[in-house]
Amino acid sequence: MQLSTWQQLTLVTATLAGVSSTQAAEWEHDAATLYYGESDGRVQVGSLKYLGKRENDQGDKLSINAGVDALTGASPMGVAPSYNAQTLTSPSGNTINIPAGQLPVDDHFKDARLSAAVQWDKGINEQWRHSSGVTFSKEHDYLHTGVNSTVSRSLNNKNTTLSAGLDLAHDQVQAINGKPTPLSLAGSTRAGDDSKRSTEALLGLTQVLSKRAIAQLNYSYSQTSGYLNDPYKYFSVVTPAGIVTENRYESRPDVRKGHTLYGALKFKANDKTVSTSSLRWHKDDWGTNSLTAEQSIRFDLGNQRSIEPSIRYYQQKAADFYKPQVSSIDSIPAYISADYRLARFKAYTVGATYRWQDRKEREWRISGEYYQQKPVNTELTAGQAGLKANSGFDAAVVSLGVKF
Amino acid sequence: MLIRVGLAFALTLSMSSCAQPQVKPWERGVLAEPAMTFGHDALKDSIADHVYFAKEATSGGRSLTGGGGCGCN
Amino acid sequence: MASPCLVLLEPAVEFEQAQSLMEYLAQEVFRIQQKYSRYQTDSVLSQINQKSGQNTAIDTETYQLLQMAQVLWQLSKGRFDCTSGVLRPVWRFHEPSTLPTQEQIDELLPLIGWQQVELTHSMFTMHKGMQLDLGGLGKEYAADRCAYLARERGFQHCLINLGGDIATSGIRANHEPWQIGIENANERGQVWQTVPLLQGGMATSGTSFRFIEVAGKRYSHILDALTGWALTDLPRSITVAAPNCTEAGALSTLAMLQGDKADEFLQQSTRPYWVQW
Repeated sequence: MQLSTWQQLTLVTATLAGVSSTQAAEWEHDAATLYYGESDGRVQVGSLKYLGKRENDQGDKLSINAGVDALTGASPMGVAPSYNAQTLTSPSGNTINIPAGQLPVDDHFKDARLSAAVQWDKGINEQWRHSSGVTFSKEHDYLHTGVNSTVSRSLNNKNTTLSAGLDLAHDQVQAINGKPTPLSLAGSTRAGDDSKRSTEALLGLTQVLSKRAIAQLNYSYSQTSGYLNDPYKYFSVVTPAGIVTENRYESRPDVRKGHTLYGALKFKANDKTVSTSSLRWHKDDWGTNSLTAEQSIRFDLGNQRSIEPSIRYYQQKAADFYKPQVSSIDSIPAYISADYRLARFKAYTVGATYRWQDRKEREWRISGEYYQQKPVNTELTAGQAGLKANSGFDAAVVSLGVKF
Repeated sequence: MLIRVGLAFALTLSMSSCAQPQVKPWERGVLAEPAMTFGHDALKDSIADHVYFAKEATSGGRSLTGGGGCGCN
Repeated sequence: MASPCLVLLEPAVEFEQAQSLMEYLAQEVFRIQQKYSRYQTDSVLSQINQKSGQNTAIDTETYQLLQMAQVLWQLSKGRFDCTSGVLRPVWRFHEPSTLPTQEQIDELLPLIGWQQVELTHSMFTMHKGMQLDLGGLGKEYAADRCAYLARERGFQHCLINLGGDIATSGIRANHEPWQIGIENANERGQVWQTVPLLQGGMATSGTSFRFIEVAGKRYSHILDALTGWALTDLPRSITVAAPNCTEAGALSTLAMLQGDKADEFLQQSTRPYWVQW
């Protein structure tokens, strides 16, 4: 229906006169779906995510986050590969048959996770703001609850922002059929739940460097304590000849402390190009020190469309207590894990995000990324020659999102 | 070594902020663009953070973890 | 905003409540004033002007104001144009005042024209060197915002008068119309006519007090964006009533642009109006 210009005038002035009502009640929504799939029939995840933001007249923001993830696929158990077939019982009571020469994986994992978070960001006065929130997630065998609060102060005509925040989380590990006793033999009694507490403190600085560049520098300290084991992961005791004699449950320390330094830079190179770079150093007392470098460049293609290719490089050192397996002639250490995620590896990601606007001025984005984890493999025994405890993997991550 | 590098970075940043003339509010047009704002794509960032949290031993740094709680690591 | 501002409240309200409302509304007026001021270099409007030639991100409020500017440009067939800001330096209405030269105007004309503007919900772009001036829209919008906020705060029977731009938050407590006195265009301070306003807004466009007189010809402060020249032979004052002050102000300004066709124009709008010649 084509409005006459008179009608348009009435309409546009009426909207303006009541503009606060539309503003105050206006929600900005961001919804996305995600698919993550690893090679070799390993983990696959499908997710739906939502972020809603509502800003009131005073500039206070309420954000609501909600998400649903469904997980399936095989996951390495930490059991060493061997030229003999093996049999294990999974935590849920299923028998897992591991063919000779193959990486032992448990493919009975099916899980669904629900997550939710609420965050309230409010200005205290001209220079100070604070932001506080709660987070929650629930899976079949895990419960997370957390609170966080950050205060920030702007200086130098809002060219500098300093912030300090604290995050406290209390999680419950509710392993299927109970948690195992660390170091006990696979199949031994499992019972009970346990908890995990973590504290993270973050100091941040955001600094405008010029009309076209802005940088961020964060330092954070985190401490986690409690039940830090993965209740479904094992390690193998292997004879020098390569025969797996025992599979036992892993054992990790009950405290973990770490420091992270993160820096990022956004720079508008020219009218159509924005470069984002970041570097992250991490050091902790488990020995899993890491370095991450990311670079992306967003090219404006005109007409509200853009393409942003990105790359990421990651490297981590193995945890001090990481061992792909334990030799039968050695004593079993107090702390040991064969979890591939604690191994020494390098990981590479390449990807791109394409954004566009539809006729109703909704902003769409589609992202595709390819991730490759390349562990540094240590030699196993002679009897396992040719086998790898950790073969690494690749994964594809595809996501479609819309802001409206 | 980490501390030394970190200190150098912090020093450079603070020196540069003193040396740079302040950007006035009306000059912040470019800085106000979404692509130039840290955290403008919060949902996309949190998805990426979660994927890496599940597959790597270290996480965080960009912001307070809040919401990273997951049995996947 | 250098004109007297008044808030009428009924029925009788406690002093603290009234004072708190006044402060609240004054804050809103200052906010709008600061946001869209051409004279404050850190205002949103000045930022847009600094960034001429580039895409500028805008918020909902700015978008809706610019959308209105666009409709007014269409309704006036280009004669009312918020991109006429570049003309300001050459048209001086304070003493001593002289007319600009045709050369000066010709130089600036290419920088005027809403057809050179791109407006979306979140982005505004105009060619480099162009200047926006939202002066013609700000006060009426501020009056409407005050009426809205007063209503939100529970003041249902309230009249806001920002230097002649009137907005009401609702009808009077006794259900009778508000009585508005229209100032005599030729005799300052005298009421020309008292007109009833049940609810909504009212605005007046006048040419009596700002003009340049050269060789017996009176050039009003109202500029025709198509020619770049000030209009002559206009009514002294046009008052319009409409559901909100912003529409009333828009109509009174557009009508003024029509000169002797003002009457015809306002009849088409179907809004109540009063013209003083």
